[in-house]
Amino acid sequence: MDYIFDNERPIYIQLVELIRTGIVSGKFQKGQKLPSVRELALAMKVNPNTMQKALAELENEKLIYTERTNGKYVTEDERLIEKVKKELAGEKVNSYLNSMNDIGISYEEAIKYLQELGGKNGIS
Amino acid sequence: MELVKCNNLCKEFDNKKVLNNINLSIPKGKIIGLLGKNGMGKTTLIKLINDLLTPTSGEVLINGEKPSVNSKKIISYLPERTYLDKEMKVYQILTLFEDFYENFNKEKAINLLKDLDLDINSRVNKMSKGMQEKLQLILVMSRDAELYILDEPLGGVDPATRDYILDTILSNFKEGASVIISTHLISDIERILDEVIFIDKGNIVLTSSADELREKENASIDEIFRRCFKC
Amino acid sequence: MLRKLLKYDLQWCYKPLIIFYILALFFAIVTRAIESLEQSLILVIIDKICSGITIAMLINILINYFMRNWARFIKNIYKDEAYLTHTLPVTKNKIYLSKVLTAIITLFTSFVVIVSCLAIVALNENSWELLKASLEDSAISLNCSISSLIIVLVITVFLEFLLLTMSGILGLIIGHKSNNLKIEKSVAIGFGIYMVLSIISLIVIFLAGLLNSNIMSVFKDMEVTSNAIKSIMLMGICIYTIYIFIVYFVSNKLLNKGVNVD
Repeated sequence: MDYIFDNERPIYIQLVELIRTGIVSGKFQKGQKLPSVRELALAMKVNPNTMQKALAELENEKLIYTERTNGKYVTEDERLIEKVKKELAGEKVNSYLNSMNDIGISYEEAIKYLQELGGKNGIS
Repeated sequence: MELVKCNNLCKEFDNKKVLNNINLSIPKGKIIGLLGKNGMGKTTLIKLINDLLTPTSGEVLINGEKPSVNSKKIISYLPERTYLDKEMKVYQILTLFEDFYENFNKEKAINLLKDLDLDINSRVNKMSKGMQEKLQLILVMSRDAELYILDEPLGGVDPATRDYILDTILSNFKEGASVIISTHLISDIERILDEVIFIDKGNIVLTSSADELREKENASIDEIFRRCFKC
Repeated sequence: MLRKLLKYDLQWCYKPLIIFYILALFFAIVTRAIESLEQSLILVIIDKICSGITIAMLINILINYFMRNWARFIKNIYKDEAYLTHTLPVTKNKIYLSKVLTAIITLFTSFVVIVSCLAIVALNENSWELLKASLEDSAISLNCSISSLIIVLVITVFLEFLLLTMSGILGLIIGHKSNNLKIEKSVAIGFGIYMVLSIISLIVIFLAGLLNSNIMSVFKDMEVTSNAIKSIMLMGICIYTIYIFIVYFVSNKLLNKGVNVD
């Protein structure tokens, strides 16, 4: 897992985003046990303290939970995962529409573009 | 109690002030970047913590004590230069470290050396400069110390080696220990820093949490540093 | 910890010394062996060469004894290796004590080798009788036994060398106290300390002479009484011992005030 961090934004926020994406995409499955903080930090080549902070943030969002001595697990609450997924999808769509708008393409046209080109030029 | 504390610390060489009234505390369990241009006092500060220099005035306290046998037991220090007896063989140096440092983990060192394909029967002066530096890094990181002090660990090495060095530091420092890394190559290490200390002309000009600083200034530490010390 | 320090200090100092020990002993034995053969011109020449080499090796041992001990101190305490030395969890007292003990031990073995080589080369029945006779003469006139005379002589020379070594180290310490002093200046300071101490001992002996007419005769006459030599030698041993302790404590004090490694 090699990830290039953007030095201009707090690293922990980028870690939160990364793991959140991992959870909603199913890379980390619901109920799955997460590696230890140190292992995760090593894998991502970041400071364990920063990783700790990121995990604490995710725990606040209830996306992961701590079992007292056993370590950290991904939530089993599917509805929560769905909800977060929707939120993320909403953000992506908005940002897509906004950038289309920037180059003078209207909402309806943007959707047309999506239907015509989606799956051909873009990612499948 | 702070791991390291500097109280009104001054150091002069021939009446030239190199460190000017430094007040600083280093907490436990953090990775701290000591950032400054060359010749601004980073190494002097580090040498004062390591008892290689004596303060002109003020004091350095490690766990509340002046530099002493106790502080040397818990500090693992990587200086800028090679400090090994170059006539010795690698395994002799491992024995030396084992002899003097109770917290030296010889097996760990041997394994790390194996990863580098370094023969422990080779003599230090037969090794390349880069290899000598890696050997020293391995020696220093194989100690279960409470404070690691690394003076310019990335100075003058190629990008691949930089990755190796950062990896070795991250994967080997003891949990709960603090690490002080002095450097002027900020962009390479800033992602692993908890705290940053800017030092300029012998003064501490800024101390902050790295992420807070990024959030506040909306820029990378490297960028902020450049803005601070425009030539 | 002291034992571990000593182990590394001795290893380093003995590295070249051992080679010279072996060479010196080897050539001493060769010299002796050739002498016991029937003499021919070529053998005489080889013999002279071998004995010359032996002497050169003995001088080498002495020079190396001093150089190795001083060089170890400079490298360990003030040069690159100081970054390791001063960050070892050992007090500066122990580091210094280890250096002094190393000097004593290497000096002692060097003495043993030098005396052995001289004995191997020069000792035969004739020379032994000669030596014994001359020693006996002085022993009788000094009113002591041959063995004690030899011991006193060896101790005096031993202390003299040790004091020179330690003065040199003190010179290095003082030389480095101020950060930019060069090695040459340190050497000059060390030699200066040694000279000053020697002059002081002369003065002390002179003062003692004011109280003791026997000793005074050294300063006044060419003829010296055996009593005077005996008193002076004993005084010398006392003075050197005191000097060595003074130099030891001053060095220790200065080192403990902290170092400033470049």
